[in-house]
Amino acid sequence: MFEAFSHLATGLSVAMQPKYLLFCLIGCFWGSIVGVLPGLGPLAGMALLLPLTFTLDPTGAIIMLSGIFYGAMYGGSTTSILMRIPGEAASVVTCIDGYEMARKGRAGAALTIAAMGSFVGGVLSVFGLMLLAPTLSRAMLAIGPAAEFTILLAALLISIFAASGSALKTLMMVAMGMALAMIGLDPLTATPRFTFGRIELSDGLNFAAMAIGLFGISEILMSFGQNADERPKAPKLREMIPTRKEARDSIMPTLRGSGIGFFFGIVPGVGHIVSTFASYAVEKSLSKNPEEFGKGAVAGVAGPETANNATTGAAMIPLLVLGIPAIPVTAVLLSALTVHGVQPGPSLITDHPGIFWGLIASMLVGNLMLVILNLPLVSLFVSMLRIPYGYLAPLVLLISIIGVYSVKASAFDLGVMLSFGVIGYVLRRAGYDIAPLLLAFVLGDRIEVNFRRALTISDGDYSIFLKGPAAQISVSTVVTVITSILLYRWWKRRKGQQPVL
Amino acid sequence: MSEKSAPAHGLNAVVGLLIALTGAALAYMSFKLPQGPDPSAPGPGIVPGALGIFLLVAGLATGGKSLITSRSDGIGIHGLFGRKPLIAMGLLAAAAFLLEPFGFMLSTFAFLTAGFRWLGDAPFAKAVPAAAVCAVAMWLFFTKLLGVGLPYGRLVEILFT
Repeated sequence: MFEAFSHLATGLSVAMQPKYLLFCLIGCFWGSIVGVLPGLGPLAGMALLLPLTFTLDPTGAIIMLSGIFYGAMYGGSTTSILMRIPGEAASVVTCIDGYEMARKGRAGAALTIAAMGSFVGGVLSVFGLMLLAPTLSRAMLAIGPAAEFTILLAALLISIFAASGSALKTLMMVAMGMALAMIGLDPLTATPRFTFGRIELSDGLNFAAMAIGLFGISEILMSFGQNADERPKAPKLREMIPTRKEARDSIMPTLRGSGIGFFFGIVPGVGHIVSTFASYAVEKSLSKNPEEFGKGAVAGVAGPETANNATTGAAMIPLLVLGIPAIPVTAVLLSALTVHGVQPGPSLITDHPGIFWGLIASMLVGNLMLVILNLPLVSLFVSMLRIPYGYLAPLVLLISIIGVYSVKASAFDLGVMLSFGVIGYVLRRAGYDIAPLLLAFVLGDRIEVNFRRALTISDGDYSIFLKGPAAQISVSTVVTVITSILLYRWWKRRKGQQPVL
Repeated sequence: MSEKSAPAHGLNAVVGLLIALTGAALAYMSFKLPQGPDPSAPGPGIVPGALGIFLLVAGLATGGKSLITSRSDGIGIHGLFGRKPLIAMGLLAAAAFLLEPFGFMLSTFAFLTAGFRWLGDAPFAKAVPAAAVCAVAMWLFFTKLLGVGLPYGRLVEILFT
């Protein structure tokens, strides 16, 4: 433990450099904006700025992108509380009691409780990441291609079962994502695959163009017709201080939310949305006054908002330790690091300690920045909600164009972005969850390469995928998680309720 | 497509069949790739071929199910694209096409003017100056502050080089 804190001090010396503080601030600020604006979530926000991070060094790039990630988690609560519109999907639960508090004239207190909960959840999860990641990564260094294939497949399988909507549709999205990952030269034999003779496709599809199209452009197309007419009112600064009772009522839900968020954050594909619902359910069942839930209960804001942000730090564990993006947002982080020649995985901590510990330290600094930013600037964020969507959309589309073009100065990539924008829009309208497509695209080539390598090593013996402790732990985890999800769904349906998983 | 036939031939059916078609094409192209010397050393065509077959079967299953049961998924093809999403896609396509020949400034100015006018319903008197200010601000921000290389346009290249 002492060693971890001494590394953290090194990380702080990196994160406190003026340029990294600036990148962190830009990321947090942009994250808060995309979190506040309904329709634009952390994924679209990160995808839009991803190409611009290619001009930065890897430490700066990941600090800025992570800032967007947890900034959006903070920002998402503002519209949930003031307008009952979740700025991003994970803030849906906050709408219930946050908006009721606002209707009772306690909007300022609800925003402060949400911000403080987010801060505590964010900081505690970073400490969890700091203590758990080095131990796990040492254990992961010894695994071979067969175990890596099993682990990657396990992560994808859990994501499939945890995704919203039909399992068959999710499987189709995973297959499409993997197929798209195979465009370009075969990594083992250099045979061109599905390039149609285009030189632009020999390196594969441009990740930024695809991600911006699938999530940024399709989000904007989906958002037309969903304009909110409500004009929110910003609370005054003196209204932001919670009463002594409100502060007392928020302490235990905040601590419990940290634990719940951290636990769900580690499981691939489950993430933010489930952790907030779980926290809400736990708080309601533990409350002495469960009838207050839905009518402005402080615990109904503090617990889910804390869980939401605690998930952020925990979601970094599969990415940084295993090189597996557990959720689409961390897939963008993986892509950013890969572009800079840094491969996240067990050797990241030893090969690039500056990046790993710098990121952890910057997350602590960023969480503090967000509390300082979000509370006084709530009026600014509220005023942004008054900009008509028809004015905002062309500007966001323009940023998408600039972002994609700046990667390789290629008009072909703009065509890719537009095509995936339309594909993403159509698929979403038809009820497909497109997040697993992006996850499978990022993992696709590694899954294929490890599968083929392992079979070559074992001379075609498929039992190699179940040999060794890492593979066996992965298979047991998949069986446990999928059985739990299926049992949970069965139990909810039996009670006549809609499952959130 | 008529209004009456829309629910039976809903979006789900069309998307399912399109995915099946993509799967068939993928499988066909994969089988033309080397499959590997023997099953112990799979070639570059094996995994995409398997994915193609899966997409073909799954696409036919979801699309076919929607067609056979005539189950409406709440949206027909005719209701897929509203006016504003269509305008946004058209503008985006035009901007992507015009960016290199006309340069960032001119194409952005045209894109934003049209966007503010038709997506934001602003009168031209407001849309034109707002677009001009935004185009210049964006140019300065991205090229001077962030160092992003944006195209000047062929006309400028011809005149000044």
